[in-house]
Amino acid sequence: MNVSPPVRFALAASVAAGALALLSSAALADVPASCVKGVDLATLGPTSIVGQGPHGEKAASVDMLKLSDADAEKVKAGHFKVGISMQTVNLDWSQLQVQGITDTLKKYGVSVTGVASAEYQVDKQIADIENTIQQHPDGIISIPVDFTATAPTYKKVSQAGIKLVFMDSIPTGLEHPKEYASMISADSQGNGQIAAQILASCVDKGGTIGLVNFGVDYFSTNERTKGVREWMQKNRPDIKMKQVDFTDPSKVSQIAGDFLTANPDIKGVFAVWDQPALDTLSAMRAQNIDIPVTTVDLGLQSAIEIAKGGPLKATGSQRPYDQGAAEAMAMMNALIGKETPAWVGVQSLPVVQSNVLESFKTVFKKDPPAELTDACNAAKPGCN
Amino acid sequence: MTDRVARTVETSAPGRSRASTLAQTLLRSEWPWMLYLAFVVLLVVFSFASPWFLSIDNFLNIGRQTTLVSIVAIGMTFVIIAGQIDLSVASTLALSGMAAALAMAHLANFWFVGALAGLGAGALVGLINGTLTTRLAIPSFLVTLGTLSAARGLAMMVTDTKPVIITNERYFRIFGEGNLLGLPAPIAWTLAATIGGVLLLHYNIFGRRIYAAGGNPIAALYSGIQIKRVTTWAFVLTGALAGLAALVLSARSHAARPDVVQGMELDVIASVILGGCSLFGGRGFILGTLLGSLIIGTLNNGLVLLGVSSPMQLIIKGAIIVAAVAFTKR
Amino acid sequence: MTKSFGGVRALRGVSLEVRPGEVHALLGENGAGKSTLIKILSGVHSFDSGAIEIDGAPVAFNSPAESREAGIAVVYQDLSLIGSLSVGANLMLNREPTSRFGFLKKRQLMAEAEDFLKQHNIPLDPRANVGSLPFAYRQMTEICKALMGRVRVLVLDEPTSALTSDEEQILFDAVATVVRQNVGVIYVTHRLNEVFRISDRVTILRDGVNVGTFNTAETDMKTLVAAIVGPKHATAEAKAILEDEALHKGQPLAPSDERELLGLTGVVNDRLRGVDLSLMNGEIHGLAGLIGSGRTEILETVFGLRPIEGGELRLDGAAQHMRGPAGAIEKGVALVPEDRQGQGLVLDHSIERNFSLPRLPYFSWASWVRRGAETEETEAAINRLSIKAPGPSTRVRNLSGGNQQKVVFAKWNNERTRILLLDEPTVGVDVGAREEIYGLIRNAARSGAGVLVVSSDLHELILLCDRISVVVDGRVVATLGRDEFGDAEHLHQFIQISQIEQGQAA
Repeated sequence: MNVSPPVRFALAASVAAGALALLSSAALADVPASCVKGVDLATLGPTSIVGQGPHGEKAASVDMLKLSDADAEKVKAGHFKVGISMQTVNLDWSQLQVQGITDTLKKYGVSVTGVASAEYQVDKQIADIENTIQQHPDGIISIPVDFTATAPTYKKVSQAGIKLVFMDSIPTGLEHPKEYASMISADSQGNGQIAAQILASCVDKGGTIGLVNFGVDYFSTNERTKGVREWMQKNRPDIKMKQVDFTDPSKVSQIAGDFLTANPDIKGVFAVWDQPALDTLSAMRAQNIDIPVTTVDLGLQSAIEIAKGGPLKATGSQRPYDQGAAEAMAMMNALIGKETPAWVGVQSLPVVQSNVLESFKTVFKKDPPAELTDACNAAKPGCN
Repeated sequence: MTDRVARTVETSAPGRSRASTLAQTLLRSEWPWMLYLAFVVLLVVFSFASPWFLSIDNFLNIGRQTTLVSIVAIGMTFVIIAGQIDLSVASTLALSGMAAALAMAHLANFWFVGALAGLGAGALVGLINGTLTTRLAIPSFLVTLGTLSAARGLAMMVTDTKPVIITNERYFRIFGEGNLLGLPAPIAWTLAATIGGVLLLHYNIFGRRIYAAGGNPIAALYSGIQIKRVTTWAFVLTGALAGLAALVLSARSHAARPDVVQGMELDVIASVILGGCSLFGGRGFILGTLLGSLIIGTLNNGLVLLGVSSPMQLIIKGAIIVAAVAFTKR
Repeated sequence: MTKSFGGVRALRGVSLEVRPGEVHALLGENGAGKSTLIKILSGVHSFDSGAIEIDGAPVAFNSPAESREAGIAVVYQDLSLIGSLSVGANLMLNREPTSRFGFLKKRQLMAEAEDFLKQHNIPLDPRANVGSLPFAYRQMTEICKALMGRVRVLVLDEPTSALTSDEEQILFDAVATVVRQNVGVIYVTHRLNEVFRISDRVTILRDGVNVGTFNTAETDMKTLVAAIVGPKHATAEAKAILEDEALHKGQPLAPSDERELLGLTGVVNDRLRGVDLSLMNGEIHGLAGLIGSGRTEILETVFGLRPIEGGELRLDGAAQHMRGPAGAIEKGVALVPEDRQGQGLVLDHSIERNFSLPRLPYFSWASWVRRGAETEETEAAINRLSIKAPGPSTRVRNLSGGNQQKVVFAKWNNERTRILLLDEPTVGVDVGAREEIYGLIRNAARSGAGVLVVSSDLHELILLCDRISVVVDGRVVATLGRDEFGDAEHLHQFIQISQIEQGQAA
């Protein structure tokens, strides 16, 4: 549904006015002056990929996937076809991934046979992949919904002589390079480090922070929390950490609220992705708690919260479009028979109030919507 | 073969103590006394177990956290007493929230525009549920299983699954974050829905008709009750209350999202049944439902305060709910 | 044996002895404890103290299954059949012949069921679907079901209440077959004439205690009635029952004014084939006929439950279109349905709630229930109809059959009711309550209402009615005035003859 720009502007103006009023009352947070400002964006976050792949591999950089002119010609001459199987197409994240893949493939004359969406269901994804195999593409790019149940189906892909590139994670038991060409993911641990570093700048010596963690064993979320823990232990051993796990994302508001009630010493919160962070914010508002929060991943609402200069201080964002582009590159390398690295990490992007507009553009490959620019304008000069 | 084939022998009737009669009367009475007891026990246990449990602030937390389930469960009480079920409430809530946010974003950014749109959308889903159930004589379980899916799909489709940001400060205050009558807004709305529900169910002829429609639809029909109309209204009421809950949720999170509260219908139904409603209709109480919701909410709260691990919380919660229903049932 | 329900002591030291090969009748007013005793025997209820012995050995059971195992078979008033299955499948339920692999042997099942029915001389088709059978046949299926397997004691709870006299005879024959096999039969009834026709001995309960056991051959109706109703109204009631017929024959209740209240001309729908009928102000009009003849359907049509497809229905001379029961009630039509538990009452609700249900707007102000008025009027009705209950908030489920029926009557016992439709109003109602219900019916007529009564009990119709219409195959074939009724025998023959004539005409 589209909103005409004038209407948006009018709406956004009122948001901004409201936000300003709200902030003036709530901006008396008990945080050190160094909070966020003490962090140099240029040096923020890891300079290289810090995490390890699911099998302990060292990450390869995106640069390794570049194609020479000769290679590019080979790709064009191949008239390759590639199928895509997603867990969902309803997330910004997945849409940007698909966009990154298709844009990049198109540049080299590779066509996309179709994008299947498994709606998070294992059996649907198995059917999706089997159907895609029947279309006889040269390659399949996919994110597995699950690590075990889909594995046998993924093995059929290589048996059918089709190249396979994974995004985000690899089903159990698949071997590189026999059964898949490459896996591309964000540097989740690096993302966690960004969140940790900024949160640390907002917490006094000897303070306590709370980690709102996803209680389900999942590679990328595990990596994020691990990134925070390891960074803190190494760089701010004075900070104590407490953790609460949630398994049902719809219950975060309650769980985080109760966690803060039971632990009033907590002076800062890391939430494992942006929606739990927003739910934590809503619980904090209700309980009149104002402590800094950082997270990983960027969405419109989290961008607005960061722009406002409220408790949400920063996020370490993935770059789903760039990840998609990298997947496409890895696929083309594999298609022309070049060796491909087992894991390629795409570097994280630190997002804070001062760079939120620009970061939004970088991540979403489009201009920020009026709601965001208005929130940012209202929060000048902190936001620009 | 003996002379006597069957024989029942007379013995003297032992006198029964007054106390056991009283206990039996209480156990048999329509009022869910055992539930109150269970709640008190829960409060006492948590008060001793966690230093953070026994405080006004924490009770306000529980009140706020249970708001959504409580409000929707009050509507569900009507539907279940009428002998029906509404599985679509969580989806209805999501759709109503989207309607409220979109109305404020596109029509006019006034709080009451959002409120009307949210309540209206909820009531409309309820009307569809009620009409399909009564006019086409499809079991409400199936009808609402359908709308559960369709309403969620619609909520996701209107914005292509993107959240809608709400910017109306007044709306936030009235439904989410402000104080009404000295109470946090969500609690005030829960209270309002409860009082409204009690009046309507226990003091209004609408309530009587609902009870009759669920207690024995044929006898109700033979007594001139227009069961179809009454049942439809029960669904409309539930839809509208899901709409009210949507207002509270969206005001609290400053946005409406289409994927919120998935699976909440189960918490809602658990609260209603825990509160003494019969799944077969004809029996139940608003205050029982509220208590059911508070018990589940207190469990959620207390277990987090105690630092119980997330999977363990689910196990304990499930066990306590089943135990409570077993004890409450006569 | 003692048994209490929520403060109501239903049994206080009752004993009963049944001999092999005898029919032992169990009599008593509603609420005397008959049903409770039977439920204990069948294992539905437990008892507080006392003992049960079979063949001299004490037995104990906590469930109907265990009771059945011990050899006690109970046929309930409320049927316990599965409507979607055939007669044979119902009979063989839980004892189906199966092959070695657990598969159902359908043919053998039907054959066994058929053999059994033949052996007991019962005219039932084992392949017929139970749900589509008339009530009487369903009841017979129920009895057959109880007779299957090893039975030492057969309990029949009001088995004839809905049977025509032909069907009754079949039942009695079946009972005789059973008795010859040395089974003891406990026979619960309200019909005294049956006691004399079938039983060897009779035990009477009153208010949860034994009043006495008599050898049927050595007693008479007067003694029994006196024992049933107790010393308080013994004379009055006995007289009423025995002399009622004579009493009322002499003084017909002449309608005060001969205005037509309800008229049906050529009414046709799915079950009626052109009904002509007129009901006068203050008239009690009976509908006689066999089960399935369309008697009940006439009532249902007047009450708006069945749409009229042809012909005319008039109220006060004006043609009406009934829009459902709500519309009919609006116009002052009231129905006391045959199945009071299924159609007349919400069993789990209080007397008060059932009482006010048809008149909720009356008991409310701007849609808010006036609870004071509701309770007050319910209490008044409880007194007026002498309903035996602790109070208005008593759950209807805890009342006996007769008192439940009085609650159904109470719902419509007010000045707004102008046409009272009664379907088998005294089925399962004891002698005392039956008389009280007759009083209510007469009072309603006296106050100007028209009463349309369906009953299988021809004595009852003759006793009550100013006119009786005979219904055959969805049509009124004759309307008889009081001087044309004759006695029950005569009326019964008339119905039978009409039935045959109709059959020939068609």
